[in-house]
Amino acid sequence: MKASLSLRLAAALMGAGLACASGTALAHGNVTCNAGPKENWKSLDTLKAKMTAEGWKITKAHPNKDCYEVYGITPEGDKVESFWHPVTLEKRLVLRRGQVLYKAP
Amino acid sequence: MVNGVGQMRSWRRIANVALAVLLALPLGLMLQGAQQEDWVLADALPPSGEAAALIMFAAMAIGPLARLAGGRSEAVRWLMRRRRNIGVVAFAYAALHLGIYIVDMGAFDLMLAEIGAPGIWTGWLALALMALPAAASNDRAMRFLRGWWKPVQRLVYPVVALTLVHWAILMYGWREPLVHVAPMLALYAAAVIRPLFARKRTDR
Ligand code: HEM
Repeated sequence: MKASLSLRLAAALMGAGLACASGTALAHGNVTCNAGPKENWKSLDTLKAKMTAEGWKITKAHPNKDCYEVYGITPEGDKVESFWHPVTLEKRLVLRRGQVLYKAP
Repeated sequence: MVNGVGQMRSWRRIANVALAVLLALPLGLMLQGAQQEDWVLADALPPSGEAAALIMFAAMAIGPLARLAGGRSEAVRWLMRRRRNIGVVAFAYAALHLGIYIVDMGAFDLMLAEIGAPGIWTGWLALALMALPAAASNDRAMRFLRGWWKPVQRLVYPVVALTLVHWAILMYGWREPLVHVAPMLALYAAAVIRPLFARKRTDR
C-alpha cells in the first residue's frame, strides 16, 4: 500500500520533470557550426581574448566537434556553457544547465 | 569443519575489502582526474553524480536480488547486511556532488539564478528526498520510526525518477541514465514477475 504511494510520487515527479524538460530540448547534442577545414579556424586564444574584452569570465574552453565550446560567466552574470563559430568567432548557442539562453538565428 | 569456518571468514574478509575498494573507486578516479593539467572543479561534477546514482541503484538492486535468490545464500545475506551502508555511501557521494557544485558556482546568487532550471531543481529535490532515508539509516532511527521506517526508505523511488530526469537534462540524452538504471529495474521486474508464475503453478 505504502509502496504504491511512493511509486505514485515517483511517477508524478518524473512527469513534472519531463514536462519541464521538454522545453529544454536536450539542445547541445546537435549544435553545429559548419566551420569547414581546421586550417581556416582562428585560434582558441583569439576567441578567449575577444570574449574577455566583451566582459566574459572564462573557466574552460576547448574545441567540440566543429565549434568552440566555452564554459564561463557572461557579461550579464549568468554561469553558462557556450558555443562559438571557430572562423567568424560568432556566438552560436548559450546554455544554462540545459536551458537555451541564446541561439543564433 | 573448523577449516570450513575459517575459509568462510577469509571469504568474508576479502569480500569486505573488495566492497570498500569498489565504493572508494569513484573518489580515487576523481582525484586522479584532478591531476590533469586543464582540470577544473566542474569536471568533478559528472563523476560524483554518477557515483551517487550508480551506488544508489546498486543498493536498491540487493533487495530484489535477495528475493530472487531466496534468503538462504550466504553471499546474499552478506550483501543484505551491507545494503544500508552502501545506501549511505551513495548519499555521501551525492553530498560531495552538491559540495562541488556549491564551490564551483561560488556565489549564492548564481545558484539562485538557475534553481528553476529543470536540470537543477530535480537535483535539489532528489538530494532533499534522499537525505531522509539516509538520516534514517541507523538502528536508533529505525526503532524511532517503527512502521514509518519502510515508507521513508521507499522515498528512493521518487529519488530515482528525479535522478533520471536530472541526468538526462544535464548530460543531454536519455541513453546514459537508462542504460545505468536498467539492470536494477530488471531485477525489480523479475522479483515481481516470478511469484506470479510460481502462484500459477501451485494453483493448478
Ligand atoms: C543539490 C542537488 C544537485 C545539484 C545542484 C546537482 C548538479 C549537477 C550538475 C550541475 C551536473 C552536471 C555537470 C555538468 O554539466 O558537467 C550534474 C550531473 C549529474 N548529477 Fe547532479 N546535482 C544534484 C543532485 C544530484 C543527486 C541527488 C544525484 C543522484 C543521486 C545526482 C546525479 C547526477 C548525475 C548522475 C549526473 C550526470 C553524471 C554523468 O553524466 O556522468 N545529482 N548534477
